[in-house]
Amino acid sequence: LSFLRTMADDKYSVLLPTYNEKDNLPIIIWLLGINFEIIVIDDGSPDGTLEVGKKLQEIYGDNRIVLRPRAKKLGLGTAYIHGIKHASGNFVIIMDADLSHHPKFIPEFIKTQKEGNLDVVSGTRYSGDGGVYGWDLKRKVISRGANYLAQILLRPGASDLTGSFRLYRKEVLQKLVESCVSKGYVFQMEMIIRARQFGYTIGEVPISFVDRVYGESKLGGSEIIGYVKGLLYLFAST
Amino acid sequence: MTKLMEWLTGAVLILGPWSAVVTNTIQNEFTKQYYLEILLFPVLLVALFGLASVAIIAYRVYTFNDCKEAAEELQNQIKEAKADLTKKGLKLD
Repeated sequence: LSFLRTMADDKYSVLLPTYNEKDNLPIIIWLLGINFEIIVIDDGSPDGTLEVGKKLQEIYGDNRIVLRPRAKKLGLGTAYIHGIKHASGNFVIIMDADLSHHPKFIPEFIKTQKEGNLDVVSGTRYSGDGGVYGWDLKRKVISRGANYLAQILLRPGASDLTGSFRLYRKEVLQKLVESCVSKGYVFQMEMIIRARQFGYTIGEVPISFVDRVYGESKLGGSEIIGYVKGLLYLFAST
Repeated sequence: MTKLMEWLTGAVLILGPWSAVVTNTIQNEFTKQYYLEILLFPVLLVALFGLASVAIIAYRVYTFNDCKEAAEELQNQIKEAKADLTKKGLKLD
């Protein structure tokens, strides 16, 4: 009966985990507009992100913007679980709140999902006209090298494994988060790997990733070591 | 079978016969004549893989799309959003 469903039957919730995003939160919500239920999961940001969220609720309405904060930084996996509990949509979109992901791609995600009746649609920076802005040569080499290693070892059938801009059927996201044990970059990789293990269908949409965090080293040695460890764990267990 | 098991299986399939030849457990005219080449075969495989990998990664870095227009569009939209939200009563700094 799924082909009888119309747009009116599908509802989309956007999960927005935030930590210290008081400047970006208004922008991302403005860009998302009125088309989606937005669930802001703030982990006790000291910069007042939650207060900004409340003011945005006054502007957009508290049925559009749902605030479900937590007391402190508890990690992305639990943020998704927490967000799902309060999401009324049957589809969930996960994305970063720092404006590196642009909501303009969401209609493309939705279209791709419908066309293939897919369980997961993943935004990719590495394929088609996907890409990145704001990365220097070193960052690009590390990114492509890490992705190449993951492709060789895991043969995942998805071009961008560490991306966090995705559309999931709500029950699929639930099941996947519950089955994942990794953290950080590897968590997003494990989600895709488990999705394939469970036989879920996965599609891709090229996206542009605009990195605005200049001058800050987001990829230190410990992150790289953590990534390789996580990769080896997935290599040996899946 | 996990990916690790797949690789181990593949390694055994290649290194099994190879080590039999290299230790002279199995030998014939061919293996005697090409003993050195057979001995160095795994090294050659690894070297070729390494070279191919470097080439592939270099190509992918070189052709990595640079989303300059996306960055500019975002900058403009940030200005627009700030103006609109200020009108709607949000205090922004």
